[in-house]
This record gives sequence, C-alpha cells and structure tokens, in this order.
Amino acid sequence: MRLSDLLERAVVDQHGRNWGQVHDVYLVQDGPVSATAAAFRIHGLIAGRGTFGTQLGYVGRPGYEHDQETRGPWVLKALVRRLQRRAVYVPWTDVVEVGDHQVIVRSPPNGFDRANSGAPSSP
Amino acid sequence: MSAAGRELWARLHLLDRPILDAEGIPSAKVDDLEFSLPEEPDGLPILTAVLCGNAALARRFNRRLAQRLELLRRVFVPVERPGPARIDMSEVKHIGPALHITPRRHELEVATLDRWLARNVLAHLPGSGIDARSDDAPQ
Amino acid sequence: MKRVFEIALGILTAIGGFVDIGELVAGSQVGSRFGMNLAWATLLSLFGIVVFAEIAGRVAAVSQRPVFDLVRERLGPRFGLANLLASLVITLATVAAEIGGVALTLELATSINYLLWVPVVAFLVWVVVWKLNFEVMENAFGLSGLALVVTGIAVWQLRPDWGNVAHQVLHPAKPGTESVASYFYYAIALFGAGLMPYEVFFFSSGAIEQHWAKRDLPVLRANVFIGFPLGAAVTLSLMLGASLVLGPRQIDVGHLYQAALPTSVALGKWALIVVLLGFFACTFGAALETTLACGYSIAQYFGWQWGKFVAPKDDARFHLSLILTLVAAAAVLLSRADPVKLTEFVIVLSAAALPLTYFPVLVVANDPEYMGVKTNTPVSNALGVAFLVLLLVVSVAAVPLMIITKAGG
Repeated sequence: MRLSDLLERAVVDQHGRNWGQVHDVYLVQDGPVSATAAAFRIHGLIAGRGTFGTQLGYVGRPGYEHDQETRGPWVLKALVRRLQRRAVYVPWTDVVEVGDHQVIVRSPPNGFDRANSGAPSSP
Repeated sequence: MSAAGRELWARLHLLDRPILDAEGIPSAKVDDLEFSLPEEPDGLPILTAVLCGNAALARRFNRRLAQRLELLRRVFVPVERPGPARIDMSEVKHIGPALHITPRRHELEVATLDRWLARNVLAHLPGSGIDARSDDAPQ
Repeated sequence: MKRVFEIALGILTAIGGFVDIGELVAGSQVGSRFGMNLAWATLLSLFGIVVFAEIAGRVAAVSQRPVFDLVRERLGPRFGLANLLASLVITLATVAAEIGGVALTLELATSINYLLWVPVVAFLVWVVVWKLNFEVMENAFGLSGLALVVTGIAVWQLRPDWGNVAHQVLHPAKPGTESVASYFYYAIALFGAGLMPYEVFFFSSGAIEQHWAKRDLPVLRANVFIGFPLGAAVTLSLMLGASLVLGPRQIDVGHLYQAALPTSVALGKWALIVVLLGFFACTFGAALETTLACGYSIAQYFGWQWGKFVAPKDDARFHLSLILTLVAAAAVLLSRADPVKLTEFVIVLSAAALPLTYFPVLVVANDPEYMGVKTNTPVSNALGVAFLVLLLVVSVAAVPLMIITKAGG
C-alpha cells in the first residue's frame, strides 16, 4: 500500500456518511526493531472537508506543537483554520478497508473526535 | 535515526521532502511512501520504503500514467522488482527538515538516468570533467 | 573592509540587474506615449520587488533552501507543477526576449542582421553558464550594466522642466490622445516588467550559489533596498529621455534603436557607444539569469542536484535543462518572432501570473521550520498580503486589457 492510496481519498463509514478526504496520516515509531531503529507504523489519519491549505502547517493537530505551526499571514491562517475546524482523527483500528476510491471505516457511536482537540488515544 | 518513539505526520513531515545522500547532496525527493499491510487482524501498517522518481510522483497525479512510467523504467533499469525507484527505510539514517540516507547518490536506483545522461551526453562537451568511458560512479 | 566592498559590489550589480529588455522596451515606449504619467507603475513594481526579493533572499540565506525548492513541500506537487509550468513558459519566452535584446544591440553596433547574431549569442550564453564562476559572472555583467547610468546624464543634459516632470510623476493624468484602456494596459506592462517571475527565483537560488547565510543578510538587504531603487532610477531616466526626445516627434519604439536615441541626441556619438554597452550588459546578464532560472525551477521541483557551484558531472540533468532552454529560445527567435513584440507580450503575461509566483514566497517565509526566528514580521506579512491583493487585481485585468487594446495598439 502506498501513501498516495490514502491521501485525498474519501473516508466513508458503515452508515454511508462521508467524513471528508484524508489530509494526512499519523506515524509512530513503535514497530518492529531492525538493526538501525524501530519501524514507523500508521496509527491513524485525519480527514476533513476538501484539501485547501492542509499542507501549509496552519492547523493544530495531535503531536504537532503550537510553536511549530506556520505563523502567517494571519488572513490565510484564519481562513484555513476555519475551513478545517471539523476535521476528525480516525484511528487505524477503525479502518475497515482501503478501496480503490475510498477508505471505508467503522465509526464509533459518537462519531470521531475532532483532530485539533489534543493527542490521539493509542490503539 | 532516533531509536524509537518518534511521532510524525506523513504528509507534513515526510512527503515531498528532499533526500540527502551520504555526502549531504540532494539526490531526490520523497515522492511517495510504501507500507506493508500487517498480517495480524489488529496490526498496523508498517512504513517500509521511500519511493522516488518520476514513476512514483506520477502516481499522485494519475495512476495510469504512473503504471506506464513504471513499465518504461524497466526498459532502462535492469530491475528485479516492478515499481518505482525505492529506498528502503533501513537506509534512512535521519529524518529532519530533509531525509538523510546512508548510500551515496550514485548507488541509488533513482540516479540511473542522471548517470546515463552524464556519461553519454554531457561527457561529449568540452570541459565537463566527465570520463565517458568509466563505468564507475563519478567521484 | 571586505564587507563594505561586498555591499558596494552588490548594490552596483543590482542596478544593472533590475534593468532588462522589459524595462528597456516598456520604459521607452511608455515615455514616448505617456510622458512621465506612468512613472507610478514603475515605482509600484519597485516596491513589490523590494518586498519580495528581501523575503526570498532571507528565506534562502536562513533556510539554505531557495524559495522554489520549498514550493512543492509546502504547497504540494500539484500547485508546484502549475507554478513550474506557468513560470517555465513565461521565463522561456523571456530568455528568447533577452537573447533577442542582445542580438538587437549587436545589430545596432555592427549593422549585421540580428537573426545572424541569435545562434551566436545563445552559444555564448551557454559557454558562460557552463564555465564561468557564478560570482564572477554576476559581478562582470552587473558592473558593466552601470554603463546605463549614461541615460541619467543624458536626461540631465536635456534640461527638462523639472517642475513639469514632478507634476506628472506625482499627479499622473492620462494624455488626451490615449484611451483609458491603453493607459492601464501600459501601466500593467510596466508593472509586469519590474516583477517578472524569474527575478525572485533567481535571486533566491543565486543566494545559495554565492553561499550566503545569516551573516550575509546585510549584503542582501543593501542589494535590495539600495540597488533596486537605483535600477528603477535608470528605468525612469529611459522613460524621461523618451518623453523628451521621442514623444514630441511621435517616434514609436519598435527597435532598441529608438530606446538608445534620446541618449545619443543629448550627448553625442560616444554616449551611444556607452549606452549600447549598457544594453548589451543588462540583456546578456538577464539572458544568463533567465536561463539559469529555468534550470533551477525544473531541478528544484524534481529534487535533482542543481547549481553552478556544483561540477557538471554531478548535476547532468540541470545542465541539460539549460541547454534545452537555450535551444528552445533560439528556435523561437529564429522563427522570426519580433523580439520587441515578444518582450511586450511576455511582460504582460508575467503580470497575469504574478499571484502564482508570489503567493508561495509569502507562505514559506512564515514557516518556523525553515526560518527559525527569522519568520516574517507582521509588517512584512501585511505588506505582502496587501501587495498580493494588488497582484490579483492586476492579474485579472491583464489579459482582457491586452485583448481590448490589441496589445497596446
């Protein structure tokens, strides 16, 4: 599987609800240890409406500290944050299948957590 | 690379980053990432390699174009496994604003075209400093 | 002492560097038709290039990466590709226009048809790009560009009514003989000439070629804050000279000959030689810069090694791009495209593509990962955003105005 198979794919749950497009994929270095280091494993992904400005580094997300964010211009940052305020974090354990055109997930009863609400819980 | 525990966002921190070789020289960009799917039902996919080159980049635009480029690549590069140029994660020694890898750029699959062009085209120009007959990597 | 020398050299180089075939053609044409009533467009473009060149140079000096290199990372490969293709088309046409400018200058000097000079010039540009050290190249052509100062002396000698000149600059008015559409079309052309896409990308990559780092920020700032305005002064001299000599006689600028005329009328034969030397230096220098800019953008988008500071054997694809660029540019000219008309076309197209060029610069300069503490101040950002809005307006108006006025008519 490649990263390009995930990015910008629509995320659809078992009820047919569309959670948006995959913006990014969360990696943690807690996999099998080889000679040099532990491998990175996918822990989850962020999905939200559209993809405008998601690569610019404006929006808070788990593991990304506030002082690392791109600082401005203020107008653009405010715009992107507003567009992306409903982006959600989907743990990989809730991913059912990576299809050709969409990523099928199983959403919990209360839906997924907002992405900018803090660190994701480990699987 | 730090031994364990690092957290990254694939697109924000890895994708489209420059790849610097053993001598710190830009050799390619991270055009895509390869993951292996886990065998166990609750396992998580593991990042196995960085993919680079035109064939890898094309996939982010159009899958069919990418497949054609991958086929084209096999014409020039005697390659055992199909797919775009690949750098195994075991060869990545540091991840920062750029990716640092252990091999020298001439040893990379993705450098084949550049070396071919250097030896067969540029070498014919006066003052290039390229030895057209040498099959070794340029110093 | 060495630092003072570096700064002085940088300023002098920036003067000749600001002026290229776009300013030579547009400055003279506008002066002839509109007097000094469009001087504000040059001053506005000066403001823009000063703000954005400072940002682009700072990004390169601090992050050690040129701006274009960062476009793909921060804005994605799709936007990066759109940006690459747009700037390549425009910059390639600019290479052709600059080589055309060199060829026209040589035609004026030798009476040998410019078409015969085109392949010779393209070849010479390649030789310099292939072999000459970057700093030597910049300094040689930048300093020779100082010959253009003779245009200022010529204007002084022509003894214009300075009060009238000041009035036109500060209270611009549209001449009765020209339409509103023409007035703004030429404003956009003049504006575009000062802000061509290659300038920012070249300045940024050039900073890396010269191994500038944080400690060189004063040199960079001197280049930008002193050098570029002096370059704009040269453009304004050309404009004023044209308004004094060409305007009253209703001479249209269709060849570099008319651009040189005011200086030779004012000061005589020797001045013609000096101004032609200046034309040669600034167009040849610009041909080098635009060619390199094409190579830089392609290599930086795909992640190849690039730069003259690298031996050719280590960046084969970069050098091949340079060769292909020159071949394509020469082909365009040899197909008998009029270099002056090509220049006019290119500067307006540049104006249309400006937001695409400058938006990434602004974003990248705000990223602490590359810039550390040297990210843009709120003031820089405010100026940058305001200017970007202006660029959007210009971009939207450029092509329609070109159609309405039939490219200046």
